Amino acid sequence: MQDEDGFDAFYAASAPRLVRHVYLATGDLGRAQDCVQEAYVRAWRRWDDLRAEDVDAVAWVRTVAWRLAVNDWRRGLAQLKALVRHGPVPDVPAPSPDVVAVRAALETLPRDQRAALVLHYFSGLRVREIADLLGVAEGTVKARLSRGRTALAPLLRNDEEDPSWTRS
Amino acid sequence: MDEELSGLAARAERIEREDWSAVAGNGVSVRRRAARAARARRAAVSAVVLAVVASVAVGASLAAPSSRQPATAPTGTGTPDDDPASRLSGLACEQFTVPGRAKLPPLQEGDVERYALRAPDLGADWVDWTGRRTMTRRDVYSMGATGMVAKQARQAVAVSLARPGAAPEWFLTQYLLTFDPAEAPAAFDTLARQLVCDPTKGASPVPGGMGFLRPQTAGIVLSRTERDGAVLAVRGFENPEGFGQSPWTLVAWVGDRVATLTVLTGASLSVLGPQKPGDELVAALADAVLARLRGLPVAAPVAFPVADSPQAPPTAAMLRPADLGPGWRADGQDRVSFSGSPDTMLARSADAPRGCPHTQSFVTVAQRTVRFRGPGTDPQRQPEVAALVTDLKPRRGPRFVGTVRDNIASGCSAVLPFRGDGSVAGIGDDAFLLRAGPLGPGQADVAFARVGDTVVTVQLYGVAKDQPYDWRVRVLRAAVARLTAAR
Repeated sequence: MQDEDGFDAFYAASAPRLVRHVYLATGDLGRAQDCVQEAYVRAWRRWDDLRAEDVDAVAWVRTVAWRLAVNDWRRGLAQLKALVRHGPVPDVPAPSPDVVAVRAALETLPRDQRAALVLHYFSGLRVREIADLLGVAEGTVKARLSRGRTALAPLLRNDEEDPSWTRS
Repeated sequence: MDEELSGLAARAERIEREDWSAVAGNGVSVRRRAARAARARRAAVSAVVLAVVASVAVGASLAAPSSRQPATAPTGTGTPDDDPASRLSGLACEQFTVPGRAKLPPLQEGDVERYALRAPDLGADWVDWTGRRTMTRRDVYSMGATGMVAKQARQAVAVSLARPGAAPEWFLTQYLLTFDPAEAPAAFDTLARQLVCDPTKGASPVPGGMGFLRPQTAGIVLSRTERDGAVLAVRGFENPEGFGQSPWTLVAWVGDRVATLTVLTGASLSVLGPQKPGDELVAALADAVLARLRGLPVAAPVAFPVADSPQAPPTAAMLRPADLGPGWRADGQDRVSFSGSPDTMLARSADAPRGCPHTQSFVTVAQRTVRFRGPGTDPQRQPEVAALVTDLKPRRGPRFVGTVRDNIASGCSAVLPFRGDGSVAGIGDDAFLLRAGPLGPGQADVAFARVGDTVVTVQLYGVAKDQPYDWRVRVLRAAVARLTAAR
């Protein structure tokens, strides 16, 4: 008998943040939910092993979810797959102005830069950890962060009067 | 902290304090999804594209006369000579904003599906695919980042049709929405603009945010104004390997009703050769859509072409219950597919560790699947077998086997050798007995053999691990014998 309560608690504690991060990087809530859920489905299948081997389960599902998201970028029809797999996502609260603004600004960047910035600024990962997760060299991550920062700087001023940045 | 990015850091701090529990769902739903996936793996053996494409709904059947109308000004917009494309050409493809979903009232119940295309409208071999489904606000969002559409839609339904069983497999997903009559033209323009700006975003949501689009006016196949509406079609994407193409997307409007249709195929249209359909098929489809939106029958089926080849492997080539032993019986009807892969379990595992090479995918030319249920009365405990005969492209058979070998040898496969290196001598050109490995828990054991460029696969679900090795060999040998006798 698997530890359902333990898994549910783990999910409640870690999944919302992961959905948010993948959403900010992909710009697609449905896809983010699908990738994250799929990662947790895989975690559940081997939950006993993850527990027994004292694996960092949060890092494990984060890696799986991000790789799924990156792979989705590379494939077509991800949206339809998600819809087929578990139907429409239930109605959820509208995102905050901060989320809308950050997501919109990130969307102007190449996906690789987006992922690096979200993993760094939201997930709190170090350059080496990002490199491991994305399967690229540390120098590549540094370059993506640098270019991303430069591109975002004029778009995301720390200006409370203008939380909903728009491009004209 | 980076001074140049203090705006992001500050926002990140605030965003990280937000409660996204409602968005993330809960562990119970994930565990249920895992259980569903396990069941699905047992039930669905192939034809990945069929599942990908079949997203929604149903339509009843009826067929009758068409009603192409002379082009005159649509209600409430423009002049007689400004067709949708010309109206769109003056619009910049820059951005749009989606209103907060929580502020919008739920969609109303209605009978809008009666304005949908129905299977016989497209041909006698078309079927309702996954059933009609009433859409939610969320679904309307998923049609595109179109605030106007999400906000103004009153009713919405999704209806999906398919022509399986012949090459190329065709699929059509349609969304129907009703609006206040005064809002329908603007909704049409919004959807059309999105298609024209970026057809690849035809089904991509941008919830709560903004989309930045690129003009793709060269992709317009058809643009026509009607006396009571308009229709516009854009060319979609094509995949030369033939996996999940979307040749066209249409958006049509009549009165207070707007429909979008996405046409997809399971395999490359190149199988049609000289019959490859062109703009005339799109025009016929547009006529049919407009007729249905007017509440009129369609004069004649749209007639999607069928390729002379490939043909599905014959029924006689398939494994039979007697080959499995006493108590086994057929479970459901044969399934024919012209897309997908020989067996996804034999491919590189989705959970393969880093460093695993990305191996070539093998596109199915034609495939037939039969399923069997074993002895016993408890459906949860009954063993199941799925047998597949898959024709690959010429000269791909040996490469397929080589890829499976490489995946196993590199630890990148979801299956492992059942015994030794997994190979079995004396069956077909190559034969293997494999079992689910740690990268594929819950997967089936698999036995497969190659005969030229045809792969015979036998998937074993719930078959006891101690099931005699000889029994597995015997079943695989029988499957190959059926194939060779039939060809």
